[in-house]
Amino acid sequence: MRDYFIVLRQQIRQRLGLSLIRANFKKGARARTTMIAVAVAVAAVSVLGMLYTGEFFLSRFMAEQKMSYVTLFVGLALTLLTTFVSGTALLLSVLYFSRDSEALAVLPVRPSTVFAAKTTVAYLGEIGVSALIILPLLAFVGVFERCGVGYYVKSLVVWLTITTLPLTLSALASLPLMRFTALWKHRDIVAVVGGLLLVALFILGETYLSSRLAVTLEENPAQIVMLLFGNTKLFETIAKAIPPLYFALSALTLSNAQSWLNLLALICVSLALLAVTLYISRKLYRQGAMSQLETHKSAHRSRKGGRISARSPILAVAMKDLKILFRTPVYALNTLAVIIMLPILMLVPMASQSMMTDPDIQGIMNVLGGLSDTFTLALIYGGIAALFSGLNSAISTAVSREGKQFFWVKVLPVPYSTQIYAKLLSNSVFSAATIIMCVIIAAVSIHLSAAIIALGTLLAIVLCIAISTIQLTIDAIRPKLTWSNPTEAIKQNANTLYGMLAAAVLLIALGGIAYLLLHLNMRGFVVFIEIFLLSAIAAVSSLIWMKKAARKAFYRIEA
Amino acid sequence: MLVIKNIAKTYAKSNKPAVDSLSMNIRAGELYGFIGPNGAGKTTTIKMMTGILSPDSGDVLIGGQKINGTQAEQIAAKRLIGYVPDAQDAYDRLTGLEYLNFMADMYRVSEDDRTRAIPKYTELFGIADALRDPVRSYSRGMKQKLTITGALLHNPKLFILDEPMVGLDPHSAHQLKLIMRERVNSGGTVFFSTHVLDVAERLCDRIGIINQGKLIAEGTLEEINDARLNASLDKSIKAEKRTLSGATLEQIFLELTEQNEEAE
Ligand SMILES: Nc1ncnc2c1ncn2[C@@H]1O[C@H](COP(=O)(O)OP(=O)(O)O)[C@@H](O)[C@H]1O
Ligand SMILES: [Mg+2]
Repeated sequence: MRDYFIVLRQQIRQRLGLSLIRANFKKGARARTTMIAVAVAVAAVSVLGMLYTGEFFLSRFMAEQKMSYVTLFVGLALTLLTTFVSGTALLLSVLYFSRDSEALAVLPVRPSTVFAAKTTVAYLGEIGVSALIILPLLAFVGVFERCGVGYYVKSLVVWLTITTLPLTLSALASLPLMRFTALWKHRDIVAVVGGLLLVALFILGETYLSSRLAVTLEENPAQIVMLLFGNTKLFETIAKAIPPLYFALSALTLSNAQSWLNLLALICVSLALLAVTLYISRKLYRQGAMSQLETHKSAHRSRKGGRISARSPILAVAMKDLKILFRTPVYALNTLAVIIMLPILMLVPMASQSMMTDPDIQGIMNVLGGLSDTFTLALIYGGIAALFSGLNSAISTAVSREGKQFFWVKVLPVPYSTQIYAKLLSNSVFSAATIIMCVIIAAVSIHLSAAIIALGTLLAIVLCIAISTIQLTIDAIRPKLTWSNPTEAIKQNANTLYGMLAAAVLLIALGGIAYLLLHLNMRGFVVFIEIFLLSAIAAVSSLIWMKKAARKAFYRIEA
Repeated sequence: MLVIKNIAKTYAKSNKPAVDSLSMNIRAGELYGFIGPNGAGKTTTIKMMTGILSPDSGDVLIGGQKINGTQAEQIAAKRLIGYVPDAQDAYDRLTGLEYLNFMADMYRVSEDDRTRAIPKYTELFGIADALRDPVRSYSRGMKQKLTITGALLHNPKLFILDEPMVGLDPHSAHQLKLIMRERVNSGGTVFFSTHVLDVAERLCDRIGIINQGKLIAEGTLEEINDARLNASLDKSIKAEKRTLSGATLEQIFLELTEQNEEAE
């Protein structure tokens, strides 16, 4: 037990202390850093503000209708789904892809203790995320339902226990997965693909649940109103499929003895899940974690590993970056996930019949259909494709990922501008993949016309150049080079956030201009041309800016 | 070949200069040993020579080109250098051969030249068989040998090595010494830092001793020894010390670096 707390404290220090605080306030709070931080905070506050406003009105309305059960169902289900996805990624990186596995393996501590400490770190992260979502909602319901102290106590227990379900499920799924990758030769690839599958599986589960909900809706043709004022039985039935959710809901809504019994059941289920996970970890964790450290050596020397061949410096840098990216599981997982998740997120709900009859989706489709103008639709399509590409953290961490090797950038006799353009070039692989994915979705699933797709793709390409260039420049100006573990370079890197923010700002600005122009009754064709030209100007000027900024930054950075 | 004019460097996080008004002039065809205790400023000096750090003041000229000058000058200077860093830092997700190809690409080494140079050095160091394995799977010494090979592919005019003997087995250390000699014999220049004194003593044409960021002695072993004896005479240090006229580098080194500490 003492070991557990020692390892846990070390893990928490390593996660919190190193990444955020040091990166942001290295040489005193610089004005620019502070400004960006404020912008991020404003964005976060406004998103949360929107969420909480929604929660407030939902819980008040539902309380008036004596339907708080539904409010709680929605809140808890949302919490479960969010922690499923974010928790799985976090857990995988903490357990298997962190470089301290080796150091910890040397210590006289049992692997299951290390596993427990690391899982606790993931758990703390999950209750942190879920607190943001669920605690205000629980409080609103408590206020509007005029609940006593008992309710709030139960709420706290529910908050602390409910996330053990997604957590243990991801742990249970990853333990055998990582154990078996040890049996393969190319275990890096297997680990990446397996990790992606795992996340995909959870998203599929989420989609399945929501489509079940939609099917049930369909069978009740009296539609939403009927549902809302009808019975809570429907939600109870769904909740029963997930016992911990059912126990939690019962604990919060039933009276007295019954509710406490359910709370007890919830606690017992959580503890049982934890116990089972811990037990299995004894058998499977050590080999799984250690196997990620070993490196595969090829038996057939003549084939793998390349041969002597010359390339131009720009290609050499780009290829080197791509090789390292694809061979480092955390990098591959994070950059490929965005591309691969995209169609899964969009195709599955689109394909399932029930979703197409969903009134919300219908509404969106009608709006889109109303915009019959090819050029307007191409604008929207191009913007969305560029946004998806902007969500990828491959380019916004390209310089940071050099880490301790950054000094080569300065030693090698290749101009800094060539080296930064090479990074832009290697990233084009990801932009291209995202754009192609979007084309497939648009053609197969949404049935957009060829003209829209062609024009939109053209716009998306120009926008992608602008966005990638800006994101890369941000990383070049203040890269995070002092990391000991690749997870820190790509996941705990503020530049990812700033990069996404910059992409969002650019797209919102262009979108706003387009909206204004369209409202001035300008023709879609003219607006498209104007936006396209503006994007091209943004791309060219950001390229010029990057060249200057990178040259200055690389000269200044002393690593 | 390598001219260092009055360079100084103070790290951002410290108030004491790591290198202080240091000047050196290393001639073409010279094998120069740069020695000093831990933390003396050897790595800092070398990083300024290779362009990794910019000096707070002063200049570094490589073959007449300023390493911290205009972009064209920087590139021309860097092209002349082959650099072996102190930590065996190669890109560890690449295979050995991929790493060597990468370095050769950056220095624009032709395919013919690298087909000749890669087997030559890797076989000499006994890492030819491991070239298709990821660098991650290499031992410390193997990584060192790989970075040495990578630095030699373009046949650099100026070969700069930071503590190159650390981690090498006796056989490979011997091979490296031969390579360094051979480069000098064929007109190249070699500059390396070390704290292994007998290597410096036996191998170098000239030696520079650095302590606390300052060059405290420079020249051939005899020159340094003479200077020391003269200094001792001036200060009328005890007569018995005069008997150390044929002192080893170790004795001189210990004496000089200790004196300097007393002076602090
Ligand atoms: N990145 C750094 N930040 C602050 N001080 C440093 C840094 N690197 C080295 N130093 C300091 O500079 C001095 C010289 O270090 P270094 O050049 O590495 O010595 P050597 O290579 O001779 O052992 C030492 O006092 C060391 O503590
Ligand atoms: Mg050193």
